[in-house]
Amino acid sequence: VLIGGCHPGDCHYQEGNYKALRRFKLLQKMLDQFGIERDRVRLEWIAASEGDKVQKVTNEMTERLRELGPIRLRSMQRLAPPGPVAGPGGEPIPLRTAAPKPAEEVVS
Amino acid sequence: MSKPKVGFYWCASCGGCEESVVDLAEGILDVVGAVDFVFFPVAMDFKRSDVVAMSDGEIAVCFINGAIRSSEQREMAELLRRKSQLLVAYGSCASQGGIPGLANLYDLESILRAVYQETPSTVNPENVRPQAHSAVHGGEVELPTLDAEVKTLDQVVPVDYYIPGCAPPTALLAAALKRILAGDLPPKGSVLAPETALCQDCPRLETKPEKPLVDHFKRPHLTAIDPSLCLLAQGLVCLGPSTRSGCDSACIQGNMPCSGCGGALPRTHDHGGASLSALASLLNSDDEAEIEKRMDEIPDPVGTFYRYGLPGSLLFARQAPRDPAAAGDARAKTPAAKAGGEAEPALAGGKGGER
Repeated sequence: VLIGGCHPGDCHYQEGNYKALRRFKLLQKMLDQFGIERDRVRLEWIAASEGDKVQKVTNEMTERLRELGPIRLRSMQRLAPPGPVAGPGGEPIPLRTAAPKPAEEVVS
Repeated sequence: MSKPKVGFYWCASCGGCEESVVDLAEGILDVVGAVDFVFFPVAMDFKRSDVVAMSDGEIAVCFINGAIRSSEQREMAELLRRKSQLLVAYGSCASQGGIPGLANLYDLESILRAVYQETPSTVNPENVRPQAHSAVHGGEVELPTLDAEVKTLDQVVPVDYYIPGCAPPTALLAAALKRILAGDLPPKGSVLAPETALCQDCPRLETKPEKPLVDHFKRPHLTAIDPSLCLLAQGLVCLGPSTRSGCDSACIQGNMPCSGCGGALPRTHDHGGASLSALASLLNSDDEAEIEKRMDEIPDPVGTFYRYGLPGSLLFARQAPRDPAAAGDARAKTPAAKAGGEAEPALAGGKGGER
């Protein structure tokens, strides 16, 4: 998402761009929590006369998005088979998949 | 004539929703006089097999609370949907995913590893985890399995009405029961709660400045809160501007800011986004470095703005499209669904974030 706005202090609507900046700063923090790269959302101040800046920013962003590829939220990540968990001595402990066999181990 | 049959079931929830039923107090006698409870595991001794034995649509209305995360919850939701004429998503978890929905920030393996291995109080040297099938004493026991993520009820089965809240205000339940019994119901998909923002009902509305601007965001446990002034004006993160009312401002009356359990307002697509937008813009600074610093005063934006609705948010809901053509779906028989459109039109009184 590319958000464009007038340069601060240079907008007919006076405060929208400042509000956008405040929202954007909080949104960036939230994107970190979601595991979404900050580069996917960009806020740029671009005046009506700055056509070259539109081109430059758009090209940069497109290139960066190509590098990033599709969004992968943590909860969407394909589950890897459960990996070995390190024990106290650093030895991997195999995952046990069945309940203990001997009856005396079961505390009723 | 026999009384209409009512069911009440819980999935991934805390029991607070059941508490709100108990809070009907003597009003419960009117309810019991008007309906037959046929399934209510937390309060009455009915079994799953009793529900299985019913004919389809035999239950007039079933209230399900809690989010959906396990195979058991999914099966029960599907079973109760089939047996019920009306299905109501009761409370924040069933409606929008609720607190359990915050688990969607992590993948399942991380969660299991944290719970069965990593927490300081866990002693599990053999790394035992629950299994769907385990051999015990020569027999086999079966446990439900966990899904990859938490879902809202309507991401699993079609839902007719929503009652928001954590837990829902008892007045909303009483009003909903009355409307259901009288057959006086709004279009399906509606939220059975007022359409106004909490601020509009707030007892402190008169002290809300036209443009509340704050120098700092404050946290309730670190702040001496004035019990009569608008909480926003005091710098507290209060979600009143973006949250549906219906709760009689209970938290505000307890001198705590609204944390958003009423969910999105009508015509709002994403409660968390709307809340973040409303709150962030109140900061009284135009300086980028200063803004950045002040936003650190909200240490957990997702937990603050999506506390009750992560699975139902725009970001997560798009992973779980509703399928109105699912088998046994009453709404699939509506003309709109036959035409291949949305099962329910987006209604003015409809659920915010209608997907």
